[in-house]
Amino acid sequence: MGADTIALKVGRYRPEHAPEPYFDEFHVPRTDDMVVLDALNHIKDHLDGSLAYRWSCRMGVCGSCGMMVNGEPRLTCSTFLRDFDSGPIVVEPLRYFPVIRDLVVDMTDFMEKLKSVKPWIIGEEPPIDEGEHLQTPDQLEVYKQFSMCINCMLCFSACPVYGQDPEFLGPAVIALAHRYNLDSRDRGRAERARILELDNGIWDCTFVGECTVVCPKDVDPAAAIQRSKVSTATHMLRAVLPFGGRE
Amino acid sequence: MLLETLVHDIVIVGGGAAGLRAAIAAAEVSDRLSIALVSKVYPMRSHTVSAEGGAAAAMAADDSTELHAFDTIRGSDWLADQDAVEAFVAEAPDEIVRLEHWGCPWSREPDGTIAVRAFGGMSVNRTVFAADKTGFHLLHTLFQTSLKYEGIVRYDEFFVTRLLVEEGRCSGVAAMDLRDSEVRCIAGKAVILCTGGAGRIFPFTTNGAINTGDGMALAYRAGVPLKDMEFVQYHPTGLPGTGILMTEASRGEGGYLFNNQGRRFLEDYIPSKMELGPRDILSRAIIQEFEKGHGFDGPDGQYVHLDISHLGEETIDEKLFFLRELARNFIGIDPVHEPIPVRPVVHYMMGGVDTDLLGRTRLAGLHAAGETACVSMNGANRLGSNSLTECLVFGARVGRQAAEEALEAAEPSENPLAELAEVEQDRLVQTYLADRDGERIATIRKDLQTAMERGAGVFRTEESLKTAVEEVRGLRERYESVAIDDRDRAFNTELVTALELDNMLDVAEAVVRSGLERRESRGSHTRRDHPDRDDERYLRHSLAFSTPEGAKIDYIDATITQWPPAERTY
Amino acid sequence: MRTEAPRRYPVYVPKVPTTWWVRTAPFRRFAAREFTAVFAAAFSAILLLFLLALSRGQEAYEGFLRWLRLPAVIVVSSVIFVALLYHAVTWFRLTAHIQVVRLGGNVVPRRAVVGALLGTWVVVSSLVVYLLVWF
Repeated sequence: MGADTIALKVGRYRPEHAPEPYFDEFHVPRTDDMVVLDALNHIKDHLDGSLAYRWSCRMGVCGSCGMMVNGEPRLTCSTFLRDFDSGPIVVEPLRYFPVIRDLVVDMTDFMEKLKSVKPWIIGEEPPIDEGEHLQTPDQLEVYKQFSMCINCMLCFSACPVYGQDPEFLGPAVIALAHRYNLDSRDRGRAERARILELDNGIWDCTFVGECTVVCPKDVDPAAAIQRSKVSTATHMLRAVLPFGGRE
Repeated sequence: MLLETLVHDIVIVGGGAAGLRAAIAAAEVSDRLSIALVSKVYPMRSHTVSAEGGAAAAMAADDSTELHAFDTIRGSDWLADQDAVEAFVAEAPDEIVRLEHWGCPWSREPDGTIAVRAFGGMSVNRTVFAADKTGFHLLHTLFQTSLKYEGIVRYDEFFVTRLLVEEGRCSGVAAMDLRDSEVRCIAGKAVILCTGGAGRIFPFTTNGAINTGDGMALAYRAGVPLKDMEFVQYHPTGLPGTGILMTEASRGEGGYLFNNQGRRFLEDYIPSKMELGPRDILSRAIIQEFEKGHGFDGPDGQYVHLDISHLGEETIDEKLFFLRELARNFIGIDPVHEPIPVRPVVHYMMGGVDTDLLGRTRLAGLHAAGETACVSMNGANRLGSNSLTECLVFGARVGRQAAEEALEAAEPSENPLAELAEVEQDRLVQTYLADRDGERIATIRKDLQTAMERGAGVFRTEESLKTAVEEVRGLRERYESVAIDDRDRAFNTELVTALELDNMLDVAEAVVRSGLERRESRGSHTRRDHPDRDDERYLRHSLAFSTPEGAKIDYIDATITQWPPAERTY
Repeated sequence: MRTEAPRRYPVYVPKVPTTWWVRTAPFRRFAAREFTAVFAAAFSAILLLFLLALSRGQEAYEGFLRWLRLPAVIVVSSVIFVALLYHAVTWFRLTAHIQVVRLGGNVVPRRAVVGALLGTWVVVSSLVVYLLVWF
């Protein structure tokens, strides 16, 4: 059992009042089944209604509540207060993103990059009465893991390449592109190749691997990126060699 | 002065399965159409994402649309409009195939065809699924596919505060941009409400924070009635405390429910279906077990056990992986070894904005689809896995309908609309951003939720509902003096919460009033003082109209086509 | 179409410090791994010098071998050797992330792949050393 209350040091940014961010400290009641999000809700409901943050499902599937908790990117709905011996627990907005207000970051860059890799099935859509594409469980297994991304952006906050160079496509985006490239129903590899393989794409990644470590859904974006590199290189070779073969 | 008026052909409020499906459907009618998708959250956060079990459609060889229709109508306790159900079951299989074409990772049979699983209230296995994260995969597939269409223009994190009605026609919305709390007028020849349900008016719910009945309240205040609001679905298996959903698929795959005597107690209530009975019957059964003292006691109330340990680790990891993850993460229980504590929690609103089969409301230009709407396809009780398909079928119908209307209609005139939006901006500033003291949002909200659970829970009485009506009225008065701490304009989430509470109060009033006037028990509306179904008086939908004295209830007959009302037996 | 309305409130863009890689253990390990590339380059340089000496005849070759036995050079060579061991082990481990190995439909677990790679490396290296010593 922990103490009855715990301190939270929460990042604030209120552009209408001050140009720089600052911290506020709050004391919240602590029980064994409370998560950091519960603590934030307690602050907003009873202590300071002006604390701004995003949340919704509180079960780790909507991806809204990503924030830095004691320096690590976490989903606050799935981070238990009981895992912290003593406070203060430091809660800050996701690293490497511009801050709009308090714990709310600007997602515009992420959304634009998501669209840029064309994350949809590319190819001639068969008529409905022909029924579904056949896809065996094994074929599904090939890309299934990479389809689990909840767009929480924790991986971006863990990626030093993105931190140094915001032009980098980023782990989640490349993993999603890879998911479609691996889908047996998709014919869009060549179309995605341009954005994946040129500036700021897969080759910017130096395989730090932290994106995979922080991913709450075991998507393993690092693996997706490295495998993209392998398949891209293989494709290039085959295109160049005389006996190369297909596309 | 107002910042700008944004003119589109169609305005869709809400970016979940229904909203996205409608947007895509409209975009496919014509690429000249400009479709605004206005959502208070980024679309991938919409609550569709948390749906788990599956989407039903008559696809298997041993199935038929007639059987799917019959199951749905019987599940609805004969209140569903049968023409709506017929349209639904007919178009469901195509929607599933369409989603598959768009990349949805439906789980498969070994031969590569789309698999189906058993689900509550269904005579045959017809629930198509994507592991146990069907809603997640469906939503992401729809969202990512929607990115293809240049005609779909998104307004992410815009909160619609009012419908703009001009000369008896809804021609747009007043939407507040969260970035600066400024109201924009977004004009359109057709407006579609797809804002989901309102589970947050109850204290224990599977619903996320965003499910506050916004679209329902918008329509209600614009004079459109809310239909069948008394029918609130309690999902039998939610975690105590948080209310996190434990998917029905757990029972579809063979899970059991046990009381504190170690008995599969459903034997006493619905022996022919057991754990695969419809949700209203199971929820009632569990509450009755609590009343008999057969429940386990816990810090968050009583519960029963959901046991899937006999399914084996392999099956669980393959078909119920997310469920296992949720149980482990949130209550530290591994369902491979131990039973999960569960209790009924509010999950879905069968009721909603009154629409016809094409999603049109009686206000010209205004439409609705998905959980926000009440066609009615689900009547007094919805079968599990019908809702995701409902979003697809009716989302597509509404999208196409709105597109046809938009291609024919004249441009809405900007000026009256812009003025209306400006009035709305002033109202918001004066009501919420002015300097004043008052009651906190959280206290009013909590009292509302407590009143709803007490008065309009699984079992209701004349007394409990009358009390609830009074309490909701009292809370509405208290709301007049609500005050917020946050007077900033940049991303003021407290302002949004206050507006959501306003919507919740309107929706709650419709629920309890409708419940009071329906003096029978049908589907999920159970009256201890009127325990029987009364087709003579109540084979009708209730319509709640907003008036200054509160909600006024009227009725409209349910449409019967092929299936004359019968006793609901299993 | 939508026109971009001016965002009236400035967003705050935090600065990323150049010492970002010191902050956590995983980042420090990453930096160390990347830095061993310098030692790999150094080893390649020594190899090239070796080939150059060989091409210049017997005297140059023996002069090079004497240089190699200088205490300072032995120290540097040892450092390079340890760095390259770290380099090799980390890259073998990474390979298992990159390449999915399938044996008859089942995915071989990562630990097994890394174990097999490291094991093969040790065996082959031992064989090479043995042959060198024997001859």
